[in-house]
Amino acid sequence: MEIIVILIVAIATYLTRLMPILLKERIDFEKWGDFLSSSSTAIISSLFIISFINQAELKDLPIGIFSLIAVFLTFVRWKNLGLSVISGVIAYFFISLAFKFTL
Amino acid sequence: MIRKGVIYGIPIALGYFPVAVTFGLTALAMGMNEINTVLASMLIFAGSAQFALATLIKLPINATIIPILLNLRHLIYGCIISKRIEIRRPFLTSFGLTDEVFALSFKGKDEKFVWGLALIAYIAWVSGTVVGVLGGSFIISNEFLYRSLVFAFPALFFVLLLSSKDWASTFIGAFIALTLGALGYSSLSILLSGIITPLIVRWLSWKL
Repeated sequence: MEIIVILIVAIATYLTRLMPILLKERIDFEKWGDFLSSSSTAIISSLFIISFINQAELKDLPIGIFSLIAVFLTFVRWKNLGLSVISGVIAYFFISLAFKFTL
Repeated sequence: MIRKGVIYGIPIALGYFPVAVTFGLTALAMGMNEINTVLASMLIFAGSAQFALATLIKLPINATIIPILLNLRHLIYGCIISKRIEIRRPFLTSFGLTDEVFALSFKGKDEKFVWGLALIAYIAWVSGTVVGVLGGSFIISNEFLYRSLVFAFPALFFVLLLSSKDWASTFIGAFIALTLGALGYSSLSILLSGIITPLIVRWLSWKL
């Protein structure tokens, strides 16, 4: 089942990148620009909320919040997606350890 | 021009590699097997869609629909880039049109530049995933490490939100997710917020 999901997502991703180039003369995708842009942001926002809530128990919420602050500060300083994500992962690891040994 | 694209694409590769390592590790943690994880990076080549797919892999319908909805924004990229650059090989050029490649494509003047950007980004993405997969089984056995790596999901989505700056869609989407999530409809909330939020944003823009 996993491989079927991957193939469908791969083909759909490829088509969303290819079709506007092939059909540029026929379809005015720009009319849908606002809707698609807003939809993408809302989905990412929902994924953030759901993944943030699901990744830990309620008592671990402060660890998540402090780690998000580390992500935010790294992103503000370096504007690098990869570095920001890694800094969040590292911050979460050390803050978890600190909470374990201090509480 | 391919070479110039490769050089310009080095910052993309630097950003992609660690995220791809994390994707490889966390996809394993979410229950995907090694071959499928690498295949996902080779065939899909879309960061947020792959993280969404891995997050939802236990729910095949959502794991299919949500990444596709997430990638609908690529329709805009193809539309814009094809108006700016003469594209002679659309079947090749379109494959590597990720968010970052699209953003940096404005630094070049032809599609070979885009190929260079996509090539180095793709190498970084796939090789990073392989590294993550190879180190995965050892690392996910550690509880602290495992939880920290799973934190890569909210961290990635958080950074993407910081980059988007569409605060109306961000807060309405978050509100829908929180409300439906609290009622136990987490997966449905993602899909619904993608459909309802743009309608609410449009309605608000008429009202205000």
